[in-house]
Amino acid sequence: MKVEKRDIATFDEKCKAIKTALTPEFYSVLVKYSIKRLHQTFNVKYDLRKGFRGIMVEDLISNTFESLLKKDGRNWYKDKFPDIKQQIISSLDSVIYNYISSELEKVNNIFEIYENENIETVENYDYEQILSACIDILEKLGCSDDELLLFEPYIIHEMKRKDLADLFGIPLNVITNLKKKLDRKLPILKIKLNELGYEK
Amino acid sequence: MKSNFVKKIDKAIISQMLEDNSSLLDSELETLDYNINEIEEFSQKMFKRQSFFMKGYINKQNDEQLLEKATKLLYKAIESHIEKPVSYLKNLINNNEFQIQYRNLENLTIEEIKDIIKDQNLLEILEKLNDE
Repeated sequence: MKVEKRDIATFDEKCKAIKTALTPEFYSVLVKYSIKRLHQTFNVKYDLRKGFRGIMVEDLISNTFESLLKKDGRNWYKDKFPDIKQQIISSLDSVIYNYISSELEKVNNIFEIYENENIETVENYDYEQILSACIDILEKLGCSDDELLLFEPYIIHEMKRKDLADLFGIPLNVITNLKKKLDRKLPILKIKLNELGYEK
Repeated sequence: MKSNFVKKIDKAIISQMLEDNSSLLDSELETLDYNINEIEEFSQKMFKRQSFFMKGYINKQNDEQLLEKATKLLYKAIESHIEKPVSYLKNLINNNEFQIQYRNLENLTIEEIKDIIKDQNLLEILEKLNDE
């Protein structure tokens, strides 16, 4: 099996990047993202003053930063997330998931996370199957043919806009607009995939 | 375990959120009945507190990293009988309350060395050790 060498930041690099990234605007993004994630994934209507069962978003954010800075804590994978803000959000996502899941488990309170009663857990699925599920969902969300065409190369293969414009012979500004439209549907796509058991 | 496929979608969502400067997040939260002004106000207040805390936390972690580094270098210096670092450590021991506890440097553990140097100027120690 081929083992890829990851580009992992040093402690000093993490400190420097975090100091630069931590601005009032970015902090606000982190708060909003946490509230949205709590609402959409766990059906929690977050109260800024009371929090959720003693869990406060400011603590989740602070724990995320600590987890990135403490000894043997989370890594910053620079090859995957060249901008540390991406790594911070991804780590925040895991922190929220771990905290809330364990809190819900602790009180033995089984939440009906989504209204869909027939959640089918899919453990083994192949690329074509999940791609087809995505396309089905995106079609239902009203994606145009061009947006659907863009989904696989842009989201899954992470192709650059310029390369996509060359590949499809579509002007760059049109690609940019299509990308924006598609981007807006991604959070819903993720929720729908979760409902279908693709995030288990 | 999340599939790679979903991870790619996550990554695209995160990139888009950062590019878009939270306007999409705002509209999503509004549709979920949240008051954006209230969240903004809350965020500003928390940011002041947290950035102060983060600076302190980073400094603390920095100090711990320096302490680890200096301790390991001193430990190696003792093992290799390098004169200057060893005499520096001896001076430190002789000048504080540790003098009774640690008579034989070669028996010092990593934790004991840490104890001895933790309140010293670690940058200065590292500079001295790096010169050796």
